[in-house]
Amino acid sequence: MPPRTVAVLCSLLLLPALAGCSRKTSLKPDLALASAGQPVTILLDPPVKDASAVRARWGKQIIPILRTDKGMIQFIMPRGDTDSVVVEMLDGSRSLGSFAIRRQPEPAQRLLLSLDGETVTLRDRVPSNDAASVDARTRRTRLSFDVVNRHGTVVYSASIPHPAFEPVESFIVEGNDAHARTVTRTGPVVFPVWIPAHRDTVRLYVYEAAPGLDLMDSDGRARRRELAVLEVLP
Amino acid sequence: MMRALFLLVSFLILLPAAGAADEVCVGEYCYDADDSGSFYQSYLFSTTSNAFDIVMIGDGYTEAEMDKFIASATVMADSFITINPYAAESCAFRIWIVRLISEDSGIEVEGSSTWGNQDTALDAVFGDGMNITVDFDKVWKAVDSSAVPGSDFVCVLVNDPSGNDGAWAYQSERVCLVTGAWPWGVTMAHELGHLIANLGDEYQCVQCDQSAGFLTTADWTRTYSEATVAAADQIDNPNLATDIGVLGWQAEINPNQILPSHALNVCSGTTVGAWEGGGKYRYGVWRSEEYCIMDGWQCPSEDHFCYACSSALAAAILPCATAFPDCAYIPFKAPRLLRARSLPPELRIPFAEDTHIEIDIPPCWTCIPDSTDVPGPPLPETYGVGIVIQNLPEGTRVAVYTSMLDLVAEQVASANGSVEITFEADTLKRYFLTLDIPAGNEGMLVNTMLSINGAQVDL
Repeated sequence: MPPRTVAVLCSLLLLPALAGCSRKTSLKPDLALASAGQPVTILLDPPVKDASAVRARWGKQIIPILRTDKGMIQFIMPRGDTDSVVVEMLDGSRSLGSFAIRRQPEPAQRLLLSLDGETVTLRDRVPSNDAASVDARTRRTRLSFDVVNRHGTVVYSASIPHPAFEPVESFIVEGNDAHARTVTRTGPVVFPVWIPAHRDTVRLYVYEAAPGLDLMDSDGRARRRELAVLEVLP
Repeated sequence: MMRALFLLVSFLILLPAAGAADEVCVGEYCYDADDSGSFYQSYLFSTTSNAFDIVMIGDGYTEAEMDKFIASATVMADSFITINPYAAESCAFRIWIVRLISEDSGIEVEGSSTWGNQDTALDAVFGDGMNITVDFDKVWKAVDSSAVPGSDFVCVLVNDPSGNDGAWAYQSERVCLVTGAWPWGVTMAHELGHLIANLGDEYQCVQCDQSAGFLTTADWTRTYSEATVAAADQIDNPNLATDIGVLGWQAEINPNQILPSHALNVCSGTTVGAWEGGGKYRYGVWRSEEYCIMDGWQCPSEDHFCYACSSALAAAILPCATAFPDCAYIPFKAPRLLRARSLPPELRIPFAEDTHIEIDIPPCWTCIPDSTDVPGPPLPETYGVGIVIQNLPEGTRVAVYTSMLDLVAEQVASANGSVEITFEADTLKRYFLTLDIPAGNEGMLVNTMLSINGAQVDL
């Protein structure tokens, strides 16, 4: 057998084995730091054959994929309470590798408060990517909040419509007539408030602000009625 | 009958760790550990980091009804986002759909047989007329457990099998409630108008005139001055005015138009002017157009926001819309199902006429075995019993007696309404529980838990 033929035959025999030794996929995220909900793009080199089979996961949590292409995957940075997210990319069941993305600290903290009579309770607090509350555009009774740091300085102030004074419609149909009235809510209310994120424990002052008070004015602020002072951990 | 009611009380054990291996709980909500996918799916995704995040979540949908919920949510979102000015600024929004499972199908409807008898994830109740209430604490905790990246507003779709048509927005709570049976985007657009831009209702006050009250022709008598005085205290929305001389949309009114606007002096209801009625008043309140989505009852077939509402909404949305004008749809990716942590079942106990209640505590080791009983392990001499009862009125005395009326343990419910009793029981004795409820309480929902040697025992 000529040497040339031998070489060709050997090559054919080795081809399947060589094909199985595909180059390791390189994963290049476009961001090293991302906030929850932010799209992160990963460049895949070499590209995968079927982009629709590519998944991303963080531990057991599947990360929603936004866009896919053979050489690119875009996913949504998940929310969590760790400093970084280790993302593993999978092509079907085969792991393509993993990488870490540092988490951008959430800019706000959402507080879940309850108001029962005049008792205000902090029920929950979670980091939040949403905007901090601003002043409610209403002339009705409001709940006003001041965030005070450990030096006693007001670092943030906002207000929301007073949840206990929100009108509720009530309709009663009797025969062809319809009664209607507006009733005031009763009982405890639970509502969220967003404040800027803070590194130290702060105090949250909660006030009731009568209709028409100008909360941008020192006189108006002085006329608020204090309901509670709550310690809020970071 | 009372006894029969109590036989319905399901006693739950505090599940041992081994039994809970298949379920992972985050906060007060759980999912199957071997499930895959995220708790939420995205309907509309904007890459802008300061978008309005709207979370759609259901109440009263069982696991078998998740497709129904998803269908309603997507139809509603699909329709909502085609309405201007939301449509023009759709990249200002991110809509997340969270799949939350309820034990029972359908929410409670006040005054019906379902009232007080449905176990749904968020405890929504359809009140009289079109009010819907919900447990806001549960809403926000469910949203947190779903790990959606943002949540400025929450829209709860309630599964109301009775077909009520209603919706409600709670501005302080940032939550709106709409019925999944009528997945109209215009309803969502209306309620989000309240939440996003503080828009007031523009009802023409046929149904809801606070000055007249009754929908009869006899009550169409004008009570202008009284209504005006009352309205001035209530109206502070950008789409309404209480002084026809001070209209927020004055610059848009044709100076030749005779005010107030009326079908007799303008050609079209879409003419910007000063139309009387709104904010739940028939008189003394002015709106910019005859028809508007914030009207809700009087809209013609072509639903749209009036000039004042569109302007106010656009002003509220605009800061979010221009930063990164890019958005996309994300395909549905087999989301996980979120369910409330297994809490003790609730049962309304109508004890107003019976403030002393007795309940047998199983098991009965000495009872004659049922013919279907499988021979069990050798009879132990003693066994541990743990009883937890929650939501009791303060001062309720809870006691355990033997069948020979020996007092075994007792506790009085404190302000938090919770009682926990543990004791070592003798196999050869029978035990029962008594509740003595202070007078003046008219029924309640109590949670009960019973553990016997860490194993569940049926009644």
